[in-house]
Amino acid sequence: MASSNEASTSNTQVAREMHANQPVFLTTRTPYPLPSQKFVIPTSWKRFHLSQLVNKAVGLEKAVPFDFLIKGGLNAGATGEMLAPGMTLGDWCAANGVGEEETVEIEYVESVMPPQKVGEIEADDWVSGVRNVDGYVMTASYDGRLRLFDHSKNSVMDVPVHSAPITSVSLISSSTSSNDEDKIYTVATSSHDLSACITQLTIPSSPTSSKGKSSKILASLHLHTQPISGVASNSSGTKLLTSSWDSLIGVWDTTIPSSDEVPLPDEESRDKKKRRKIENASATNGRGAETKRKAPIGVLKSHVGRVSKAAFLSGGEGGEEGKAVSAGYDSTVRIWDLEYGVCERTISASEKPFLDLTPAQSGQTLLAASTDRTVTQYDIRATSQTQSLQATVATFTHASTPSCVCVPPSSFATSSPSSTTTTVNSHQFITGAYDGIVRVWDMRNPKGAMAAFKTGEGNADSTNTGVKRTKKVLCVDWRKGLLTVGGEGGLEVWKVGEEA
Amino acid sequence: MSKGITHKSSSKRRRPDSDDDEPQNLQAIGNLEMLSDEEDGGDASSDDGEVDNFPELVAESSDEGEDDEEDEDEDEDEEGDSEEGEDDTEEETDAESDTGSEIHIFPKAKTVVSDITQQPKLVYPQIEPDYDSDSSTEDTPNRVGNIPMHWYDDMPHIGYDINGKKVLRPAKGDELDKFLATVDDASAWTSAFDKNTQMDKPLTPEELDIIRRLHDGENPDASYNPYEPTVEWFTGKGKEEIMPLSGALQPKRRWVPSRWEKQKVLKIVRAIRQGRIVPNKPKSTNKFEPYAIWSSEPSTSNPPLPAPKPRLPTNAESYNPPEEYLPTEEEKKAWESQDPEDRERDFLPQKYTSLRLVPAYDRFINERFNRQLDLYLAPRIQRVKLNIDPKSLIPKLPSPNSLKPFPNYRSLQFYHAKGRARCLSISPDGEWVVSGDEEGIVSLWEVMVGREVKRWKFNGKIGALAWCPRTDVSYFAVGIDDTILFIIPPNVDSTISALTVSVLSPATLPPAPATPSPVKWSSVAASSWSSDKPILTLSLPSSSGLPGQFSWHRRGDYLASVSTGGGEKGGVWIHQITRRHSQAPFKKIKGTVQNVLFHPTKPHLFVATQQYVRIYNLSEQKLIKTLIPGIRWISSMDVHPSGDHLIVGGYDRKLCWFDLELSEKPYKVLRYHSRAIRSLHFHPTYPLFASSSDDGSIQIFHARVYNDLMTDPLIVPLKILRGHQVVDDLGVLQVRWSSKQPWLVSCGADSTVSVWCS
Repeated sequence: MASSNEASTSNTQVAREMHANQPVFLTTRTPYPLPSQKFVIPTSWKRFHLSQLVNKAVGLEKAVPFDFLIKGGLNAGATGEMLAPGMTLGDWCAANGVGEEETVEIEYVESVMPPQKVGEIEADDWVSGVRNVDGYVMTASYDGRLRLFDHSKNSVMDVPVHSAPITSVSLISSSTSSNDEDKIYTVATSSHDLSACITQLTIPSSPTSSKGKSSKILASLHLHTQPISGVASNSSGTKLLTSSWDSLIGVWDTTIPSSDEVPLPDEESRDKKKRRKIENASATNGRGAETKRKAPIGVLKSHVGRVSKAAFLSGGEGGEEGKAVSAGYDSTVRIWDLEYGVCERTISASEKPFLDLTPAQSGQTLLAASTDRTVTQYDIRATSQTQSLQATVATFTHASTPSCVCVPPSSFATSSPSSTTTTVNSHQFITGAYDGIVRVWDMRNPKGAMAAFKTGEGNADSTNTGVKRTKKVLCVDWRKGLLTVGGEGGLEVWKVGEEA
Repeated sequence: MSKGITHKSSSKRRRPDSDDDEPQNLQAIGNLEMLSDEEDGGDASSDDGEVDNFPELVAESSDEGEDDEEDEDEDEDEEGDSEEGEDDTEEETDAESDTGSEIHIFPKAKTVVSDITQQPKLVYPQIEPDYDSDSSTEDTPNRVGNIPMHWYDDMPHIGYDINGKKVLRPAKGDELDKFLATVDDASAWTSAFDKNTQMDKPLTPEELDIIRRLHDGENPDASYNPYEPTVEWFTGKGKEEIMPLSGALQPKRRWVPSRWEKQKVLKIVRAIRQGRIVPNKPKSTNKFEPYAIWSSEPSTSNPPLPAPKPRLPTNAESYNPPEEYLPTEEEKKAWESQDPEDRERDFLPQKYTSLRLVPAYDRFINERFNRQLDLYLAPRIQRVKLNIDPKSLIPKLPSPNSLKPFPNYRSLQFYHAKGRARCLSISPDGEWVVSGDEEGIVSLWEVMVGREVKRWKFNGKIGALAWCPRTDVSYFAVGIDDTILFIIPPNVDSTISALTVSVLSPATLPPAPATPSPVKWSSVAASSWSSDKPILTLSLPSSSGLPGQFSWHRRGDYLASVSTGGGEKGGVWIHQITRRHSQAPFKKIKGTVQNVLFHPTKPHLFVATQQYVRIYNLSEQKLIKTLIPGIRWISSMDVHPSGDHLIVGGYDRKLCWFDLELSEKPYKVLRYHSRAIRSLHFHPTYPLFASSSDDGSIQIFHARVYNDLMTDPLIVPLKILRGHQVVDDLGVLQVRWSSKQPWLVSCGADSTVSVWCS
């Protein structure tokens, strides 16, 4: 059938475009279902027409734009392939070898609204890590400071944690204090100064009053001999992973020991002194005697180059607790069994030094960004194959180096799960690149980004050299419809996808 | 006709008769000859002889008379005559051969042996000068002497004899008689007219012999012997000439060497030396060498094209064309109004009732000329166009896609505030970059993020940066005016930091070298050191200028530096970190040193001056090799990590690849940049090298070196990276590879540093 269709030439194509029809079966998982019946749709219809059809058929008062996933093509997987904007149904059928009389099953999902800028916050230095915590935006910066902003761009807190640039930040736990007024955040940061820190931030309920705000560095994590590239905590906040340039991954628990587990080296005493001096000068609280030097509970050793990122595999649908994934400059993605501290599986890509990775919501795949300008989706379900080609699900090509990749947290991890939004966003992810463009992707459509927007344009060029320099995006965080972008140009908040 | 035949047959019948007659005739002729001989001997009665001859003539004629009966058969007659003639000559030769030895005109010479010389000699008889000695007038009857004989033309006589009596004119027959006489007289052809006697006289055998000799080109004297034996007068024993023939003094030229001869010889010698004259040159055999004409391949080219044929005339050209060919008035007008070039035909058909009325063709010359032009401009040779596919001339190179990874896009840029980013260096682990600009700022930043982590400010330009290749310590060298500074970057592990400090600022200084060096080493004490300032400072001798280039030895203990100021030692210093000692390896060096490089495995040092690259063995202290790149001004060089290959770049855009195992000439010369090459670097692990140029571009090459010596290195141009701006005619000033990734970092005059990723 397919061959005959291909053999039939453009004449039939023209004819099809003119008056051919395609039987279509529309399904959805959105709250706008249609009665299950076949539709016969002109093949010249595009996404817009289909969307209008659904809107009219359902009888929505307020128009909801939809995207359409067509199943059953040659290239489409189980999830189907997204009908690209501007492509007619006939085009797709011709490209995928679907005959005129075959019934095409199309799933429609709510499409992503164009991202809208909410605001931007100028930062003193490059932002290397952002984290949305309810109501606040936490940023880690290259000047070694941890900052907390509320959504009205007010700086709530500015804590010097490290003497060297911070490379990433991760929220361990958030809780409210006993008197139910203060919010207490425990945050882990990693830095170039070869250590990671666990810091506790206490914010009073009324953020405007400076009283009651306090921060305390609870512990410093000492293992690595080279700068630490990232820190990640598991969803329950009991364990930490640090990845470092020295090819090691440290596994830590988050309990604060009562005494130093690592002795203070002699050489560092001077450094320590200096650091204390700085900290004393800058803030009242600092890494004083109460900062405990902590040792790892495990070290994962298998990478042969810099480890860019390590992350826990959050449970998800098929994921398991007690597993971690990491990616490094040695072009490998490794899956670790944390209980035994061994590498379970290695996915070796060829010449793809990885810069960032994140496990997908489903827990079955992960997304890794590499310097060859691609973000690759790998299948991490336990199979013995280690070939990257077999594990590769899809490749998302960028115009510039993608520095960070982010998926929204899975539904049960968020505080207020809504089933509809989760299904919409479970296939979406966001990448930030060195050309300052943040792209919203759907995993089912590797051909092009669903949306892309340029950041760092609002900021006046501080150097004023006349040359417009692109501001690199270094980190993104996306939860509950709010996308926080940190990078060279400071901090920007965008509204993407979900309702805010 | 029938008559002729009968004649012939009759003649045939008569032949035997004539044959019979011949012997009689022969005898008669033989008698005649004898008579004539007698006549010659004594010619007293020539008249009688003449008279006597007549009857014979008559007899002859009677013979002929017989023949006359058959007038028409002259052939037969002549045949018979000629046969008779032949017979005559035979007789004559017989007579000559008889008298040959006796005839003498000149007196015969006798051969006698000389009394004086004892040699035989010819002696001629004495001529007696008496009355009879002149034989010329001896028996001539006419004694009138040597006068014009036509004086006697009207006389009955022709002169007078010795007695005064008239000598009567001999009877003379008419021409027919003369002819008959010649026919009859066998000796007529050997007789000549005698003026004195006014009649023909037969020549004597002596005279005939002289004529024969003159005719044959011989000496007329029959007795002359041209082959007489030579007489050796002065050779042989006892006949040597001892005394000079004359008593005159010897002329000077006899013993003084001739100047002119000498000059002539010198000229020849010079010509031989210059090759204008080739001695013993094999004589050119101008002879025709036969060759096999069919052995060579027949030429495949087509025979020359025949000349283009003129168009044959059609009906329209006829003097009397059919009516339909004749133009109408409108057509005529249209034809006349057209340009001659635009006309369909160059004549108008015209009609004449007869050929007689056709006028002279007015365009004859024109047409002939055009025809000649056609012939002259017509192609006579079909030239086969050389159809070479230009793609086939391109060497077969693997596709760049198969040679991945190589940097192909700019991942990020690092901006220096102002001033050209002149130099950079990447840490041995490939994570950090230090870049220096002309404002004296040295920045330390991460390769992949590009965030400046630390900045140092110095006075003066930064000339060179080099990170120590040791992995257990971490520091880099910075070259500023007359000084080399050693800096430890921040955020290093405490053990590494401690080791680095102890290397650069040891608690106990090593013993001072025996020969003090002009380079001063001063380090900050370990206790008071901070990463903001250099821990170790090397003060080069003053006015040695900016260190423009550093080269670390692989082990990280030796640092070679080249100062632009030069100086008498070439500005080259080798600093040993552990011994805290600097030495100048060269006492004196020709030319200004551009670059130095340590060999990656051997104790060799590459030194590039303006035009040559010299390789020195440092342990043996000697020069190994001099490479001649053919570059007018070398700008940069780098050695392959295997140590067997060297690339040299020049300001004249050339890039030379040397195989050090082979010759001192480049294995390959690449000239792909449009401006001067500034920097070259081999990737330490990947088979890549990069060249940067003032045209603002960076070129990436794949350079695979094979282990077996038979295979040549494979050099494939992969990618041109553009993105740096050309500022003040300066482009990309330095390129360096990241050690572990196929990433390239380049710094340019546009004060940016770019990271190019694969």
